[in-house]
Amino acid sequence: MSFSSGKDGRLYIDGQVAAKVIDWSISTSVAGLDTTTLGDLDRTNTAGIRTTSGSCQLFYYAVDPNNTSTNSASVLLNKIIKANSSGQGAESEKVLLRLGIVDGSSTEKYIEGLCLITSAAMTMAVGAVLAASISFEFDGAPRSMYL
Amino acid sequence: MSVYLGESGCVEIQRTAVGSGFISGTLEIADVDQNAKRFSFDFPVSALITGDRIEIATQDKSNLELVKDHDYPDGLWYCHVDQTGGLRLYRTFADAVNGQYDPAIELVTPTKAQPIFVRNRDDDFNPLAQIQEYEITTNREAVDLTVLGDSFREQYANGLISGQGSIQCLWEYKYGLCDSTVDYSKELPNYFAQLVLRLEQGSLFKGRFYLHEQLNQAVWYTADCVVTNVGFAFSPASVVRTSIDFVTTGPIQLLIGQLPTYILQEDRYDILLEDGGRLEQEEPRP
Repeated sequence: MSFSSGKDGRLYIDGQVAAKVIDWSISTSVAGLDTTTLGDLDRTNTAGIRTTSGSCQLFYYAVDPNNTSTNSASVLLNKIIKANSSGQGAESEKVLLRLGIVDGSSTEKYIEGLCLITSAAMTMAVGAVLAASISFEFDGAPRSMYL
Repeated sequence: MSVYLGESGCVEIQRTAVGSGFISGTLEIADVDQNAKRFSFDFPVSALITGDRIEIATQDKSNLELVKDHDYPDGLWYCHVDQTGGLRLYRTFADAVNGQYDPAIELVTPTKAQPIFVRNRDDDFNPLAQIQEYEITTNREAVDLTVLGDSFREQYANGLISGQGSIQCLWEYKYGLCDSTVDYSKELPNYFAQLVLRLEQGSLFKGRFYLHEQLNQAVWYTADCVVTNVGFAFSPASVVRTSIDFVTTGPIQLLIGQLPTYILQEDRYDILLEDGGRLEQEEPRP
């Protein structure tokens, strides 16, 4: 067993390894529903709705500038941002994300699920490299995981 | 292999101002004292510094009524600023810093109030006196490009360039007779103390920082600089020193070659330009 760090991280977008990923993070929370009743001395609860969401940052970098599919940031941006067509933009697409950890074992650790991108932001600034900040929320439970 | 000593280094500065920054005011009839060769107008304290080469121009492009036999809308002179904000004009930097009556340019009393612009515009570089040491540093900004999966840190190689430095001087604020270390062609360290407080035109100067200086071969940095900090150190057992910190603004150039100089005539006088400056050449003076 070894410690893991950024060099062991992977991000897959629709099954393809994403390039130039600065970081990713994931967070899962469960809403606790209060079941405390009269006579109870201690608060009790039951599990409610579970939410899994996360974020990632990617440099806006294309292996081939003429092919936006080689730019991972562009791929995610195009999932949420839709140009006007026939009066309005198309519906945002969901994306299959896999957040992986290469820990040296024969099987990569990961969590994978269909996600809705909830926000995308980019800032062009002096002294900084253009990058996209993406937030996403899992649609339902993760499809598969091995952590 | 050569070893270079600090004695071949030096700093030259050119007085300048931020962009087209100028001071505006009105030259009243009573502002000019013809007999004292002295005039003034309402300008902020510290806006002008003794030794500045200033361009004075009328705002309405009419002829400037200030200098005797000068019938043009504007003119370029060196100024001496006295303690009360009075100005005398001179033809040379040395005369201006000396501030004597005789070499001052004769003035005329204007016939009417004149709205004027005044701005700092000097074409000459003067060496800085009393330097004990100086340093200049250039930086290339590194932006982290490391991404997931990398084992080695990656950096963006084409980041922004900046520079900064400091100059340590023995403090001096005046020129003295028969003083071989501080003659009238040099800038005094106290100029920076005034410059950092200068209003309207900013604390900008053009600097040449020589790493090695010989007539036919020199190595030097040149950059526009902004004075950010001026400090004084007082200690009972040592001389008073002043420390000047600056940052560069805009391009920084590292030049190697012959020093900039001026074309001379056979009689060794400068070829003058219409603005009073001298015609520059690439070859050094003989």
